[in-house]
Amino acid sequence: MTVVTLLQTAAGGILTGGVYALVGIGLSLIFGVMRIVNFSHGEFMAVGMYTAFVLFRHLGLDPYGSLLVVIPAGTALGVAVERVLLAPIARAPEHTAILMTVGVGLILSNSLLFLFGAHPQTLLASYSTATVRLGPITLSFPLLVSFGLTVLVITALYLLLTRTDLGRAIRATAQNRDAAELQGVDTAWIRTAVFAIGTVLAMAAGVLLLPLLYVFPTVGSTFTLKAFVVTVLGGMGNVVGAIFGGLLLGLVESLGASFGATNYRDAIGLVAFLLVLLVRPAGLFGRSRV
Amino acid sequence: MAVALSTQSLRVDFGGLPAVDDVSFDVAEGEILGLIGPNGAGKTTLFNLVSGYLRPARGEVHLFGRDVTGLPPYALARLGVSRTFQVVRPFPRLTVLGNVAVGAYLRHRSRAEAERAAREIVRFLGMERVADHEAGSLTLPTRKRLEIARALAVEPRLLLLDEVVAGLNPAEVEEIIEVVRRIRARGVTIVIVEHIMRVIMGLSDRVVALSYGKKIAEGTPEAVAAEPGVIAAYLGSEDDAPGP
Amino acid sequence: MSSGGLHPVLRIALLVGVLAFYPLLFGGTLNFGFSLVLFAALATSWDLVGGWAGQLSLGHAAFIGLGAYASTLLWTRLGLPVWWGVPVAMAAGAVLASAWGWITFRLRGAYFALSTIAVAEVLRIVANNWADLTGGPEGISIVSLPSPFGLDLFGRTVQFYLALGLLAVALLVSWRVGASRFGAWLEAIREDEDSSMALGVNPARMKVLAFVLSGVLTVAGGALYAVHLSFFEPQGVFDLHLSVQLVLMAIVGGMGTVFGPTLGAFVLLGFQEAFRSTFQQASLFIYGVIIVLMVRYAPDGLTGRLQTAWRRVRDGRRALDAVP
Repeated sequence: MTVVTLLQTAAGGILTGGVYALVGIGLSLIFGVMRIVNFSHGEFMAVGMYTAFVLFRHLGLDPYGSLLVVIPAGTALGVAVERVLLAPIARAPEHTAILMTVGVGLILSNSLLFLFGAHPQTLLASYSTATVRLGPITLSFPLLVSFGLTVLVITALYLLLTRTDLGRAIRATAQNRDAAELQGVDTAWIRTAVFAIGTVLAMAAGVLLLPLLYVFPTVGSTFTLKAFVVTVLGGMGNVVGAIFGGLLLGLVESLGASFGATNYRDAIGLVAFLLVLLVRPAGLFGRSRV
Repeated sequence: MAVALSTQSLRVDFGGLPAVDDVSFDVAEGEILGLIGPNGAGKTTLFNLVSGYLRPARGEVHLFGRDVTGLPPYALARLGVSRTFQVVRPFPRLTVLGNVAVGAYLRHRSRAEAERAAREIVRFLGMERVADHEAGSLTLPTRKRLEIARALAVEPRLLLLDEVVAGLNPAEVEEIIEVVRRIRARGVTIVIVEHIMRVIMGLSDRVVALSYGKKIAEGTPEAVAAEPGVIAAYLGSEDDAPGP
Repeated sequence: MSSGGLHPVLRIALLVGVLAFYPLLFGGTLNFGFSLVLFAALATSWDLVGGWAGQLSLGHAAFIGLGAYASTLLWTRLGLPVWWGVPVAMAAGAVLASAWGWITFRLRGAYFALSTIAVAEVLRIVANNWADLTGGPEGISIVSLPSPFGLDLFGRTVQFYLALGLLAVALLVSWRVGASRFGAWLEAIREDEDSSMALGVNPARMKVLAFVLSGVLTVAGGALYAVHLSFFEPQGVFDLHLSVQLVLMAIVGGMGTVFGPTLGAFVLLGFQEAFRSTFQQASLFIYGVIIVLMVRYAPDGLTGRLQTAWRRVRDGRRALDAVP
C-alpha cells in the first residue's frame, strides 16, 4: 500500500470519525448528566436521517439545510421523551432506564419501518459523488462538508457548555446533582435540556451522514453501538474524550478495513471496544464511572 | 492478651493528599476501641482500609497475627472481619431474615442451617416481629439494627461499627449501646466510630483520636479527652467537643 | 421465600405434567406449542443472570446462535450426532461464558449490558462473513438428522417433548438456585454488590458462575431451536431482538422468580399468536410499547403484581414496618 493510499484511508477515517464523535458526544453528555445509558441514541439518529430524507424528497430541501429543521424538531422530541418517560423513573435503579431506552428504541425503529418500509434507500444529491483534491489525496466532498459542519456543531456545543448559564448549570449537575440543587439549579429541567441536546446531536449526525450512507430503519442499532464504542473509548461522561474516541474509531475502522476484510469493518470497532473494556474500562482518555 | 487487630503505618492518599497518614495502633482481643475525630479526620477511610475496601499505599494490616494487607472484603469476612456502613445499606428487596441469612451463609452451607443461624441473630437483636418484612420498608432505627445483625451473621471475631447510632433518638441510642455490650460479651472485638461523645466514652475501653488523617492521641477515654491536641481538633464544633 | 402451598418441585412437576398433554390436545398447533415451551426455557435460563444476579444481558442470542451453529456444524461437517454435538456445544458455551464473564465481571450495569450486545454482534458478523465455515448469510440447512431410539428428530411432537424437557431442567435449576446459598448470594449482588462483599460474597466469581450456568442452558436451547427451524442464518439466531424478547418475557412475568419468565413467555407468545396477522408486522413495535409501559408502571412484572395482591389479601393489610 502506498503512502498516498494510506493517507487517504486515514483521512477518510478521520472525517468519518468526526461524525461518529458527534453521535458519541450526545450519548456521553446524557450519561454524564443523567447517568442514563441511552440505548435508543442510534434510533434518534435514524429519525434525523429520515427527516432529512423526507424533506429532500418532498420539499427538495438540501440535506444540510435540514439541520435547521432538525434542531427544533429534535428539541421537541427530546423534551417529550424525557418528560413523559424518563423523568418519572429518574430515581429508579439503573437497569430500569436501560430497559426504558431499549423500549423507546424499538418503538422508534419500528415506527420508521412502518412509515418507510424496510428496503434501504439512498439520497442522491447533485454533489453526492463529488470529490475534492487536497494535494495527492482525493476526498469525498460530502464527507468533507459533513466534517466541517460537525466541527461547527461541536464548537457551538462547546460554547454553550462553557459560556452560558445553561452550560454552567449542566456542568454543575454533572459533577454533583445535590450540590447543584443547593445552588438553585433546577436539575429536573437540566436533565430535560440535556436529553434534548443529546437528541438534537444524534439527529444532526443523522442528517450529516445521510449523503454518505444508505438509510434503512434499523441503521440506528449499528450506530448506537458505535456511539457506545466512542463514549467508552473516550470515557463515559467525558465529552472531549468522545471527540478523540470518535476520531480513533473512524481511523481504526478505515485502516482495519483496508488491511483486513471490509466485511468485518463493524466487528473491528466492537472488538476494539471489548479490548478497551477489558484493559481500561475508564476509557483511554479519561475518568469515568464504571 | 492476643492482639486482634494491628495497623502499622497505614497510609492512603486521595487526590494527592493523605487521607490516612502513618496510622498505627493495636486492638487487644475482646476490647472495645473507640475511634474519634472531627469530620474528615479519616475514620471511615481507616475502616475501609481495615475491611479491604481500600488498598493502602503504605503500611500493613494484621489480623490476629496474620498479615491481611490488601485482601478484598470477602476474604477478610472469611477471616473474621465484619463491618457496618455509615450510610446503612440493606438489601432492599430481601426480608430482614433474608438479609441476615446472606451473612449466615458464609458459615453455613445449607439453607436450613443458615436460616436457623439467622433467626438466632434476629432474636438476639430483638427483631423477631419484623423478620419477614422487606428491608426496604423499614424505618431508620430498625435498619440500623439490621445492619448490625447482618454484620454479626458472618460470626466475626472483629467487628467494625461505623456510626451505628447516628440519627437515633436517646432511647434508641441506649438500646444500641446495650446491644454493643452484649456483642462484646460474646467475645467479639469491637472498633467503634461515633460522634456522640458519651456513647464512645461510655463504651470504649480505649480510644484512638484522629485528625487530618494522623493519630493524635491514644489511651483511656478520660486521658484522651483531656489531651489538649484532641480538644483543639474539635474546637469549632461545640456539640462534638469531648468531655464528660 | 415461599408463600405456602405446594412444594416448588411439585409445582414444577404439575406444570410439566399439564403441558405434556399439549400435543394430545392441540396436535395441530405444535409449532406454537414448541415456541411456548422453548422460549419459556430460554427466558428462565436468562433470568438466572438477569433476574437473580441482576445483570442485564442483552446478548443472550450469542448463546442461542452458538448452540445452533455449533451443534449443526458438528453434525453436517463432522457427522457428530446431536447427542454428542449438543454437549460439545454446551461446553463451548461454558468456555464462552467464562471468558466473557471474566472480561466483563468488573463492569456494572450499562457497561455490562453493552458488552453483551457487542459480543452477540461480533459473533453475528463472524458467522455472516466466515462463509467457508458457516455458509455465510445464506445460512445452513439441516437436511438429515440421526434417529436416536428410532425417534424422528424432525417430528414436531418429538421436538415439543425435548423442549419440555429443557424447560423442566431450567425450572429445576432456577428453583435449586433460589433455594441455595448461591442464589442468596446472587440476590445480594443484585441488591448491593459493594456491601455484599463485606458479607463474604465474591461478586466476580458468582456472576461468572451464573453466567456459565445460564449460558450452557441457553446453548442447549439454541441447538434445539436450530433443529426446529431446520434452516437458519446468522440474522435469525444472533439477533438482538431475540435477546430482547427473552428479557421482555422475564420482565413481564417477573424477574428473579422461578415461574415468572415462563409466565411471561406464555403471555407474550400467546398475544402474538392471538393477534397474528396484525401483530406480526408490528410485533417489535408492540414489544417496545410493552417494555415502556411495564417499566413505567409494573417494574416487578406480572408475578410481582400477583404476589403483592396475594400478600395483601392474605395479610389483610399493606406491608408495614413495626417497631421491634
